[in-house]
Amino acid sequence: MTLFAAAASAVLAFQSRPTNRERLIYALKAFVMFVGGAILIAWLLFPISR
Amino acid sequence: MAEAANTVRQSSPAGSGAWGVAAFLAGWLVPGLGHALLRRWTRAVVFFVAIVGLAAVGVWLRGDIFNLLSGDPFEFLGSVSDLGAGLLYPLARSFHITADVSRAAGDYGTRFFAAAGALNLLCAFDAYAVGTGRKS
Repeated sequence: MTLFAAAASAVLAFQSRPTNRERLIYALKAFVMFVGGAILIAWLLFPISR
Repeated sequence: MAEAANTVRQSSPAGSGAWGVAAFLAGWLVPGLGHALLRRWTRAVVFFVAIVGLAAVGVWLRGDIFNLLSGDPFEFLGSVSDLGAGLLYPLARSFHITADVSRAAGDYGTRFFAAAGALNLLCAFDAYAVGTGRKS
């Protein structure tokens, strides 16, 4: 999942931001949202998974 | 440094519809090739590594590379996404992998390859925008 998040974040950052600094910030934010979102959804689904 | 970058940008062959279509087709067939044609080297390398990496991990995890001609509507939809990976799709099919989606890894592999296809299509459209001069 982190591999997918890293690859997708890098691609989206290079497509949508013009400078390297903006790309880095965008990629980091997107990566944290991908991984954090997945962990959050996993915890939300945990009570109904049993 | 900035002057050198401007010189490179000015010598870039972008700015016409024909270049846009050529960059789109090249970028679709081989991830990053469209941007390489337009001399956007950093983007070309990042897109190539990210997309080929995702597709390779998808194949390595024994994901399901969908068959375009199976007749099953869901398999057809999956193959449309897989086809976005360009030449990686027939290459992956040529390995004749026995998909194992009974395990989580195989299911992840299926998603990895489909995501590689979807991301590659986005990159190909980005190459089109750069080729036509709508984007730098």
